[in-house]
Amino acid sequence: MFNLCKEYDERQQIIRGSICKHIMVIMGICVLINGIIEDAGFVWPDKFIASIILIMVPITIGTVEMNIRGVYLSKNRQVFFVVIFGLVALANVVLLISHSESLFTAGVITDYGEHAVLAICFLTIFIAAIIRLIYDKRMEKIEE
Amino acid sequence: MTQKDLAEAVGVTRQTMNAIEKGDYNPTIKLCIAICRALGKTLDELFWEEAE
Repeated sequence: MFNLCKEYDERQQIIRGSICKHIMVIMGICVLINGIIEDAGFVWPDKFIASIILIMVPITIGTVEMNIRGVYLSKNRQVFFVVIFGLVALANVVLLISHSESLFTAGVITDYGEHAVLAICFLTIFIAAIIRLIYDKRMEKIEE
Repeated sequence: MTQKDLAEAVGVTRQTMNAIEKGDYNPTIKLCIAICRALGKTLDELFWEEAE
């Protein structure tokens, strides 16, 4: 934990702190909305995947914000993290394409639809991270 | 000295150094001193702006 803090400079830590607050607020809102829609009779086909979605949606929004505000995923392992997210996104997309099931049945999200939401989250993180990586490399070249 | 070299010398990222140069981020006094030491300048020379 403390070693991780040393990896980030003061500006990175300030922005990360602010993004963490945003993630916590968004996660709280997601949990609240989930409670409301479940009370209204909505049933998740897979509660375990639903709980992962509740965690992944705020994290995805936070990661996109991180990339917009110029905070890297990791100081020395930026490419490694982009590759990992890319592979997870690719695996999810391949799985989705290989099973041609419907995302909704009678207006209710299916198990397959839940996995699609997760795939979109991972894909969004990957795209945001790769755009940031390319932008940083370009800026580095211009500056040199 | 490039932004990247200076950033490495003071232990921050190039993005942070860029943000300081553009005025998007106000560094702590600790970082200001580290930048001054790396460039061999005083705080006044680097950061003081004369009032108009």
